[in-house]
Amino acid sequence: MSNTTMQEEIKINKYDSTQLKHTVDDHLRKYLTSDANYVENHQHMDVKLSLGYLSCLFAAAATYYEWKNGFQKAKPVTLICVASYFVINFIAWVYAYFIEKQDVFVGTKDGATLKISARLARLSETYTLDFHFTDGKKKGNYTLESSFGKWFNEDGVLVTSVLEADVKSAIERSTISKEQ
Amino acid sequence: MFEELRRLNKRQVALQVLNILMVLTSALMIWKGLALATNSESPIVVVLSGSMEPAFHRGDLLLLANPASQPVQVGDICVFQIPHRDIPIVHRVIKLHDEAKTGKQFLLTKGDNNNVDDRGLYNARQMWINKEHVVGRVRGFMPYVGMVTILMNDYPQLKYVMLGVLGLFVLIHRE
Amino acid sequence: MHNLQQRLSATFSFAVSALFTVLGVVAAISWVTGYGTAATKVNVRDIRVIQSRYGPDYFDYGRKTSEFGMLKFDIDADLTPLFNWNTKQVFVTVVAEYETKTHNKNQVVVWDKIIRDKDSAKINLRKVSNKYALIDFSQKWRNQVANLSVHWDVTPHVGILQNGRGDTSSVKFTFPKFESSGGR
Repeated sequence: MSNTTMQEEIKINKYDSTQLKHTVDDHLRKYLTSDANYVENHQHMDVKLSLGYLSCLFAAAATYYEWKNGFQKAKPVTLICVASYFVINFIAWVYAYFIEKQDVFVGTKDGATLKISARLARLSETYTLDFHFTDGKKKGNYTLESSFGKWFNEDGVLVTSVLEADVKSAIERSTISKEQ
Repeated sequence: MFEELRRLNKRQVALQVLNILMVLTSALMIWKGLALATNSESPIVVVLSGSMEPAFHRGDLLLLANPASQPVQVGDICVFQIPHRDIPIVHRVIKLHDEAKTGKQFLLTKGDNNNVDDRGLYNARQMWINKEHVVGRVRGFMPYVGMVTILMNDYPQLKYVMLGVLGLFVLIHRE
Repeated sequence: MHNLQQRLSATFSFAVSALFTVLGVVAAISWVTGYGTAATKVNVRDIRVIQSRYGPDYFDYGRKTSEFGMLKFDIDADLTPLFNWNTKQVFVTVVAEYETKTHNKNQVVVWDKIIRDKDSAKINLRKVSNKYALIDFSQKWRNQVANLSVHWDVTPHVGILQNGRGDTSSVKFTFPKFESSGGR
């Protein structure tokens, strides 16, 4: 996988902070799962997807039932479906706000867990990545704070070698930081 | 534009599709919620003809309600749908007769801007309309906003173009 | 914010939200403050019953012996309090209401008028004939007692429609029995 990334340039609009963040996050995940051999934990994404699609099923059910039975007769069913739709989406929001928070990667390797969460202020070019490392009782963390300018060149191309080096050193520092 | 999309993995594509579905279903569920709250199948309608001028013009938006606790009164502006006719009509009730035994309501309507009442619009030999034909009573009014719907009816290609553009936009942009 | 597309999209969404907020505030203010009440007075000058028939469209009224009421009334109404910054038009109606043995509620509009501005909001008319056919569901008036009142319906520029009625529960009149000799 790392061979293809070196051949294919990742070029984006360097003024779009959403794209900058997503590109860094995506490459972070790619590096960790292929070069660093972590196994990604997809729980956050799976929860978001299942709750989202479930709510869509309720929406579809309401539409179908009303189409078959007419508005007045379908009213109680419509009410249940509409309420369920909003409740499920609320639960999804609660999950994202309290549990997922700012996580961009959660993965395991040899029994140890690595969790990376990100912070980006509005209209800022400084991206902060918090690396949390847990191995049984051992816990460590390291905060990597960098400007997007360090990872992207003038043309908006992601310089993967610099990003990967930064990530590699951040992981190492997070694993050794609280050994006592 | 599409390079970002190509770089996504299966889960991320599923998430992008979900985003479009969420836009559509949330609009749909809000609409159905409004329909339940007003007890009216189609709580927001666009005025299609000039028969209620000068109050309503083509392209105005009307908010309907049909509370079971408040019966129709003469002078109310109702939206009603006659069986076998596609287009609902927005006119004022000018005659009302409630039958005591059956609770059936006999209503006659007329557009403010029309000289004659609506019997010409009802089905042949139909002299009155009843409660079941009434979709809702006009409660709220907003001018011009419905012009978009009229344009989309007159130029149906516009509808597909707009939906296509919106869909593309949501699909391509992440968060 | 460095390309045209982003600027256009941001400006457009802001303009739309601002517009709808303003419209919402307008509607809310009018809903809360209402449109006031008008002073109205109506009284009956004359009531006759004739037998006639309607054209072929009026399927039920094709009989020659359908009874129609011919009403003449006076109306005095000052509707100026109903006009505020958000009033688009006022629709005034004179309504006859009555109860029969078979139908517990009957309301028939006998006359209506659209008023579009404050200047024409004062109505003082004499010997007005009913604009619309005064015919009962059963097509017969049997000494029926009815009362006459003035109703109004305000259409705003933006917002909730509101209606009201004048207090004229005392204006009652009785339909005379149809005399076969009279009528046109």
